[in-house]
Amino acid sequence: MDTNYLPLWKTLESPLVALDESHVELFSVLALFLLTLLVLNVRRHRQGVRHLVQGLAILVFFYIVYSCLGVFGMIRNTLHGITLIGTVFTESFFWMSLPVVVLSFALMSGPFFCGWICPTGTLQEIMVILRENLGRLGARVRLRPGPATRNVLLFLFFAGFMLLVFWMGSTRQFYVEDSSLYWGASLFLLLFLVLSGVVRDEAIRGLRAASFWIIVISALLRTTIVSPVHFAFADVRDPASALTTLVLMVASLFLARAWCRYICPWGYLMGLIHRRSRLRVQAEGECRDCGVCARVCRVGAIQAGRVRLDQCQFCLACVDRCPQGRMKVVDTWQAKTDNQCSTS
Amino acid sequence: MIPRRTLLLTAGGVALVHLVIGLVPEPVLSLPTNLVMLAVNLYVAWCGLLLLQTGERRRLGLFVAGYLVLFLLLVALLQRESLFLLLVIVYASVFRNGLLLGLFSAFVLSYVVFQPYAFETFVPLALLWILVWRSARAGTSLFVSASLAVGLFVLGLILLPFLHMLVQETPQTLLQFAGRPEVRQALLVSLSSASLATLIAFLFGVPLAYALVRGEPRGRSLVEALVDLPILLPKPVVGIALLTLLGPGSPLGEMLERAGLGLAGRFAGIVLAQVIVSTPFLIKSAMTAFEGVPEQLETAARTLGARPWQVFGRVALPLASRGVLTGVILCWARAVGEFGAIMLFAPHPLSGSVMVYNEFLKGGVSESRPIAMLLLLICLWVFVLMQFGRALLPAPFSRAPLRRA
Repeated sequence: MDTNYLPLWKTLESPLVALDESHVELFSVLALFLLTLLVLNVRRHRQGVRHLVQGLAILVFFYIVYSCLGVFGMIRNTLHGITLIGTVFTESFFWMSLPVVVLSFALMSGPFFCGWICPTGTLQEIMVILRENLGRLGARVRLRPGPATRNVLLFLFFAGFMLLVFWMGSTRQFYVEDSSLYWGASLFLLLFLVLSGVVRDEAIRGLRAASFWIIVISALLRTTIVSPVHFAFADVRDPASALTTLVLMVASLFLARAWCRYICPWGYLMGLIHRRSRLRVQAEGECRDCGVCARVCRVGAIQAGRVRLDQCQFCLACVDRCPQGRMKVVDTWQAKTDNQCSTS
Repeated sequence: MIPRRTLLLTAGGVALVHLVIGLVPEPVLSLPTNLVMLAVNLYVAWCGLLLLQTGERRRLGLFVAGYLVLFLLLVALLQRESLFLLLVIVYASVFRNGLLLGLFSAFVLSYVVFQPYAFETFVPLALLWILVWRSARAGTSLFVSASLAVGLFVLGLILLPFLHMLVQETPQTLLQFAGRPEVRQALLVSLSSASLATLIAFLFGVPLAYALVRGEPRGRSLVEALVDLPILLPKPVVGIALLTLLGPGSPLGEMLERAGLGLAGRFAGIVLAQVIVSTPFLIKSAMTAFEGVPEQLETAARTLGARPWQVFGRVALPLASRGVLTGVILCWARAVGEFGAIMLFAPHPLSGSVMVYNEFLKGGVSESRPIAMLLLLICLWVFVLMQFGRALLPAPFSRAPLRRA
């Protein structure tokens, strides 16, 4: 395979290049996942550990991993890799390795990829943390923007972004690859609708499925729609991808992890898997309605003390913060035998 | 949770095996491959420990056996270590879930073993497994599940050539062919003539069916046999019969031609041929459907003052609508798929099936296949839409609620 297209910052080269039968890429990702599996069980300072893992993951992806880990790219790569099995084994392995690992681990231990590893998620998380600290600062100097101001700000952002998309369309050749910009634009539109109270948050949660199927069909038609973080994995000058990344980061300033909530096609897939996975976060026992879990959940997956499996990202913040200890990681394999033991 | 000691022991054991493999004088695996295999095996061992944790020893044995089969197949036989790595990760993850495990086995079978026919074997196998699994889960008897499996297997064999054709062309080629005006024209002719033929068949076929069922005329069995006649005849025979009656040179054909109503080689000729070959299907389905409508209901409607045509339009037809629509679907499908009679009687304007044949004569399989695929896809789409439309119609009448009342 031609290695000339690889980005400059991927400093670890031969024999660490992930191509040509050398498996360093898969090894690093596997090691990362196995490590995460281990530290999932750490009780103390779990959220701090999570941020550490997120940082480590970003480093690994930035310096070692070559095949795209973007939320669109993984879907496309899986389908592409499947078509290559039997004809070009090495390449098919190259395309499929990351998605396969992510999906398999999700099936065994919940979709911790979303909350602990996904670079797109981490970038948003950084912005959320930034906003929380800014909010604290703003509260001290009494500069908290009210809802009206926030709406105006958001509208300005949205209008500006639309203008930018329009301008890009008129000045440069607007490739179909750039259509991830439309995802960014829709994200801003949805965000505006939700925050200004026109649409309920609930009503548009299902849109991720639509997003997923659009990507699948476009992949089957051999059309490339670049993912938000795609520019970090390939050495193509990818302004659309960079711009979309910027958009989702800015969006996360207004509503935590807005991309994951409404748009992310990969998140839809992870939600499907979470229903069948071995581990899941579940509420058990008496609830005092203190609302801590709903407040700490960054994707709004907890409603009325219940966890929505299709939205949960397995960050375990609710498990750590619930004063009753009511939120638990439940092992569905064990549950059966436990019941049998208690009855017999 | 797995006891820490067991976990450490297992991890140590796996690591030791890989260390030994790495330290052998002439290593079978390169260092990176060995490393990644270590990681994969750690994961697999962890999954195995979790299985052991649930207390199912036999399942663990199966798990190990499956691992060995994959190893033998992919590493020893095919020498595809990288594929083995990925597949074994998936295998360990899906093992507890029967549905997913079956799908995974189907995937391995079709994509690794039957490689050149991967897609077209995977789709039927996956469908078969899903349906059989569901039926087994719903608690149906072994006999029913087994018959389902066998039947679906044969159905899959029937599907195989069509699925195989579907993956031969890229969507781009298809779009390119679909953009050609003559292809569009031919498809349009096919679809519109079939729809027109179905409409005509509906207009005279459904009343005929009703009359045969309700009126019970004297020669009913004879009429039924006559209705079935076009099913019996080879289609070129129909074409030749039509040509003899209406073609150029025959008195009737010449007369119609002079009046400007010529049929041979015209659009109307295509419709006529399609009506002849497809009507029996509609009439037969409609008759079965009308027979399912209880006569008491119609009598009741009559006593309430409905006219006979009102009884037909507001009682009999709605109750029989599902069966009639099945007939319409069959009739349309037969009409759009007609080739023999059209080829002889009205090869012009070009309809889809004739065009496929012409292109095949001119350029062979490669030229005609995209058009055939387009025809297949469009017909399939219409067919699926119609099948779904059936569910919207009122369900056929059942006696159960009446009895309960």
